[in-house]
Amino acid sequence: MRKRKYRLAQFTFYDRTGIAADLTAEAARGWMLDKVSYFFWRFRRIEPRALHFAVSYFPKASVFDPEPGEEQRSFEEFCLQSGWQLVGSAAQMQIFCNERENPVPLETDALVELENIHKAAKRGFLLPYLLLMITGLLQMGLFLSSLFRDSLRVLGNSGYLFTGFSWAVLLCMTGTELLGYFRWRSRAKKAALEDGSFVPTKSTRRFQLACLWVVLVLLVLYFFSLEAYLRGFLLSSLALPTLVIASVIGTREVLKRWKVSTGINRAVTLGLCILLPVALSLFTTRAIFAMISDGRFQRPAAETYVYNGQTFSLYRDPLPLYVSDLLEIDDSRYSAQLTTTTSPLIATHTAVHRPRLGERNQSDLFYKPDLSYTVTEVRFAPLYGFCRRALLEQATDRVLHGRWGEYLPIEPTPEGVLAAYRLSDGVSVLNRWLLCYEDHFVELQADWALTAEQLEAAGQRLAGGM
Amino acid sequence: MARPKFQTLTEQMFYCLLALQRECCGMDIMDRVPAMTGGRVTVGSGTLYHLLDQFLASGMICETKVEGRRRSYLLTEKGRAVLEEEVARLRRQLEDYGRIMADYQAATTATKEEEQA
Repeated sequence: MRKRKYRLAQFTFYDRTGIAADLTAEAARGWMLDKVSYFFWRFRRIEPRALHFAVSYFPKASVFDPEPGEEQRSFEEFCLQSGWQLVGSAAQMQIFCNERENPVPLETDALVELENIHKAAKRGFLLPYLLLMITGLLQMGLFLSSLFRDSLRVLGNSGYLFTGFSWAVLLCMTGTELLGYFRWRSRAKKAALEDGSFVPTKSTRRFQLACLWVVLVLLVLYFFSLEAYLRGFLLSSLALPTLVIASVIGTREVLKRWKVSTGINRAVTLGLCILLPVALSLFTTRAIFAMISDGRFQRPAAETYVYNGQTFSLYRDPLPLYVSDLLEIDDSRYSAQLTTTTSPLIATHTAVHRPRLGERNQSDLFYKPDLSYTVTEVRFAPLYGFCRRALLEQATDRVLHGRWGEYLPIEPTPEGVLAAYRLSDGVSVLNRWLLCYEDHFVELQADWALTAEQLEAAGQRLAGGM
Repeated sequence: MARPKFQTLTEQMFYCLLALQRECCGMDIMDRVPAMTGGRVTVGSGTLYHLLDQFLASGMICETKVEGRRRSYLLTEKGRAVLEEEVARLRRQLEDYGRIMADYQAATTATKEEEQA
């Protein structure tokens, strides 16, 4: 039988009712709170007993205190004399246990308790949560502005969606906590003034845990949805904040162990909070650039070739449409590259079929032209109309030769294509087409003006998507 | 309806100050309050500690003796004034109650007599 167990410390700061009830239930099951640490609460095995738990707040305590100060020790002794023994503390929050059958409650004046909780909350709960909520709001603002500016790119990328969702969850969690606190405080104050009664706090533990689990599961799914060469990039971008948090908390705890004064510990830890992210960002940016130039975050190429002393990658990805399907040319030495970004809503496949550098010059441009196309697959059918509008509007946003672009409808449409458009800059038509199928769209760009037959052939080849 | 600090006292505040008419330490107050009220009012150690801290900060009590972590306190003139003001307030409340209830009873009796007549 195991003698210890750990539980995620997912309690709200002011939830004195929920914490006490939870610890009482654990004691009845044979588990006694042993240690309160930053992320986990440790329990030790005891004989199942009916114990009383209560949470009090000591506003003068600080998370940077090397050990309880004189006043805090006086408070602990004070409580001990009436049977309340301190069993754990986290900054201002003090958890007490009483073995007596009918102990005098730790707090007997609702108004005094309320004022005390608010004083402690201002230092240990409200400020950090407010900062987190502001960060969440700023990040959500950035996400939403990207969504409106470049909706298809954002909706078609699981990474963007996951990041946006995570910030939304953070905003929701911090908002719920802050709103919950002020609602409880308002009700508790009213009750305390009216009849001196205590208002129980409402636990949001299940909601908080559910949010964390959802984010964690989505992160794992996102990780495995990535191609192997991109997983390292995701891990390193997760490692940065983890390293900063671990370093800051670790430093603070080491300084506490070394009995460094509260003021110095606070100054060093806050200094680290500012300097470390900057230093690590600089370091990782340099490292990431070095790795990118090393090709670490690139899909392995089929082969490489040297042009003007530089090495270039060449791909041999299977594509639904090659230049040779439209023109009588030999494209066997072409690079065929397919890049895919997906999300549960949209998948975007970008295909580029181009000759090697140096094998195309102005004189034989016609014989070795580029062909590229982007296939946008609508995985979530209700988004079809939205995607179509977004693709058509993207062209009007694009400045072409100093003029706004516009997709003009063309007839006849290739077989299987519901609608076809060709880009115009207002004066002349350009070699860019938009083909709308039942469940996907194709933006096609070529180095030459496709004939009606070539467009028909391209349209038929791309009818099945990717 | 915000209540300015210590303008009116809760029962716990009232009896803590009352207990400090005589010099005593925190533990003594915890014993004295139930004794003074026949067990009707008890003061929890958490509440008492914070109350003493607040009374001390507002000059209503003073520290008289420190023996290790055991501290003794005594009511100050300011504390006595607050306590007396609270008693006066409670008296006024009682007087108001007595007057209004007497008027009400008189009115009720008169109505009954009129009905009987």
